[in-house]
Amino acid sequence: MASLLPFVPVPALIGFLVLSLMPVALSRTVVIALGVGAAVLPAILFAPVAVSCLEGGCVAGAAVPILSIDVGVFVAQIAMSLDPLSMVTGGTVALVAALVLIYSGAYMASEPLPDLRRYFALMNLFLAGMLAVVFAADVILLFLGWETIGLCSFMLIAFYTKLPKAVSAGRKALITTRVADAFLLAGLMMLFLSAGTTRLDGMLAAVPAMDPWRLAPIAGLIALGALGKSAQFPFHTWLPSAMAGPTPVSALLHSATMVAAGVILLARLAPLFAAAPEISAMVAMLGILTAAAGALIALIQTDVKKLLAFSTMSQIGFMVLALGLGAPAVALAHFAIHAAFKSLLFLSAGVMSHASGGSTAIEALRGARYRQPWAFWSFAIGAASLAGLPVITAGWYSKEAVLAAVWSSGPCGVPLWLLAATAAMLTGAYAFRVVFVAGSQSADLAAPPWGGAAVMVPLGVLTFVAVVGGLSVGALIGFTGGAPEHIPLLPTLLGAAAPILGVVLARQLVRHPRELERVAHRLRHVRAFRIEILYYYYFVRRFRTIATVLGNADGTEAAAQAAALRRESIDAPGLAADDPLGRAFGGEAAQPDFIARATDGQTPVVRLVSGDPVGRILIVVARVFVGSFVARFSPDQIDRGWMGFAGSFGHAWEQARRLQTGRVRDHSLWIALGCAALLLYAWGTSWR
Amino acid sequence: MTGSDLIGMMILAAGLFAIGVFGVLARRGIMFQLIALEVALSGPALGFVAAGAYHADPQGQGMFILVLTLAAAEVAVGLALFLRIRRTAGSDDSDIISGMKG
Repeated sequence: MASLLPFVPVPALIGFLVLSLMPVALSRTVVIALGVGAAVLPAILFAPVAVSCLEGGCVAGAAVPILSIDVGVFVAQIAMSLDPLSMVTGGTVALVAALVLIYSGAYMASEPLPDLRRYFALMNLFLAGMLAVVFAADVILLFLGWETIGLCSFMLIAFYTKLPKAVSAGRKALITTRVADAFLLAGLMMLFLSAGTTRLDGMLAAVPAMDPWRLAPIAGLIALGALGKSAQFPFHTWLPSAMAGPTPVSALLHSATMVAAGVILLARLAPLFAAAPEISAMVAMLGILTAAAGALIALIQTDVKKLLAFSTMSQIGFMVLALGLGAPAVALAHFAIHAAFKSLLFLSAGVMSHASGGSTAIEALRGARYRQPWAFWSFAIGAASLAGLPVITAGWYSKEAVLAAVWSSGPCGVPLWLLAATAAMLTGAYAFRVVFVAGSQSADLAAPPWGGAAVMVPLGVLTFVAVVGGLSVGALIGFTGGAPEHIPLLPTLLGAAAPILGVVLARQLVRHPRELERVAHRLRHVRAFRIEILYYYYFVRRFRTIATVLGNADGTEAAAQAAALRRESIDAPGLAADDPLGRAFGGEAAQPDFIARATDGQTPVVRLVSGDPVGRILIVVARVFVGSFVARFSPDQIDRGWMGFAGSFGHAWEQARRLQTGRVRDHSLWIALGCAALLLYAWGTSWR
Repeated sequence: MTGSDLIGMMILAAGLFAIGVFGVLARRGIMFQLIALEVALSGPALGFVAAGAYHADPQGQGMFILVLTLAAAEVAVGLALFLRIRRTAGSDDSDIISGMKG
């Protein structure tokens, strides 16, 4: 039955073509039936493939060829792989997509008919692209699917085209991932040039013979591309704003499947990264950074969808961390479990926010436990799995596997493990903050009637997976070729205690909301990435104070000016009073002793040391130094230089925008010049 | 076909392409720009046929068929855009669509 594999994405593609291109008016029921049916069929088609795989049909490296294009120099093969990795990821994607589309048949039913048709067409196209990514055994199919899901992500985030916020969020996601995709394309092309084949297994077989100076940039570029799609640290900004799309879109694309595409790619190319240890270390660092920062930011969110977005970032950070440490099987197990419980969280949050009037603020969910108990309890089970409550939830088993892989990863293992365990504790805190708020009493308990099998079935299945799936984690890891790590009892116990601590923390935070607000306020004002502010506070201001205290004696012109400005309550630096020594000596100025009289009108530092000959020499040297060197860097000069530098960007922009005339023929001119330059470059580099 | 014939053909092809590109850059009427694009495409097509004849390889003619298909598709899209621009902007001046101006 393995030959069925290439047909798995076909129903979704046909669904897209029928819904988007067929010039026939379809009724609402037909659109929903077509859209949902086209998404359920891949899961049904996939079942026999999975069965034949479990019976021993799939080994690492097995592939089903689809077609090959002979271009003389090489053969471009398009194939789908039939290895454990694609079985695990493909099964997860097909199952979650089928369930989410069943749910959205009910969730989106009240949209206008053209929008509904557009929604289902795009979701089906996305599913086809995503299945192409997970099954691809060659870079051509992989990249086609990769670009398709990026495009679908853009169009689904900007689904509500009337909302400027949604459109700009979609644009942001598209541009960020396009930048990352350019890195990926460059990396794949360089890999192709080195390996001479488009098949992934052929490329990986060529890796050991490759020059390390070629390998490192290839691995780095591919890693950047994958991290961009997975919303990891330098590219993370697009994911939270992507929540402007409908909730089922967030559940399928921006939590379970699309953002995990980077993880899948990194896992598939794991031998390449194993051969480039410095790139793997960078990937692991970015992963743990995103995991910890995402958890911290999720803690202070006030919107449940934003909170879940940051938690997705953080959980994918865990997977990327495991990948960077060379444990792809563990990352894939966490991917499968995460896809189940995160889509469960999104779907049940959608039900709860529907009951609270469509608002996704956490406060609006208050009382959801009494309004919609089954949605609340499935959310609570999802949150428990996200937090990784020990023994009873699936999330614990997969996260524990990640933590174990971190612990036994060499000399950096223990500090990394501490950071990861802290992130796991914060995960418990932010996940249960929502649960505690939603579980509390509220005055408004009237729920609009909504539910039915289309909502209950997906929630039920996903809840089942989120609890029982834990039993399969060990099997999953073994199936995808990893060996479970055995670590001492103490870190296991500590890892189990982290989520419980997190739940306690969440309880405290919900009881004392003001504390959280204070932390949130502080975190919002950390401007760690504003270079000019850091520069100003840590460099300019200190330098100014020192320079002026040294240079401006009391009674000189500059000091008088500064004093005058102070009197008009303008902050002017450089008064002797700014000097801590000067303040200490200020009280004694009333009883002048002989030193004070001798050095009348000098700065306190001068007064302090001018009593003896050595001190006098020091002062003379300091004065000469100040006069010849420090004065050149007087504060105004620095400020003027800095402001001029900043202002020059404005002028540069004024000049640069003239280049963009918007005329077709000028665009053509630039394209022609660029092509000519590329041709010249190619000629110059290939000339012998 | 001798080597000097091939060089002559290549010069002719480059000339055709240059004329076409100049037409796209210098003209403002969309219709004329489309015609100039066709002229530009005929340059490489001639190059393919000439190189195929020189090497006695039918792939050159195959590529010519590909160029023809490409040109047909390009004209179809171009004419559709032309009609659309005529309808919305009311003119066939390509400088009028400059919404991307910085």
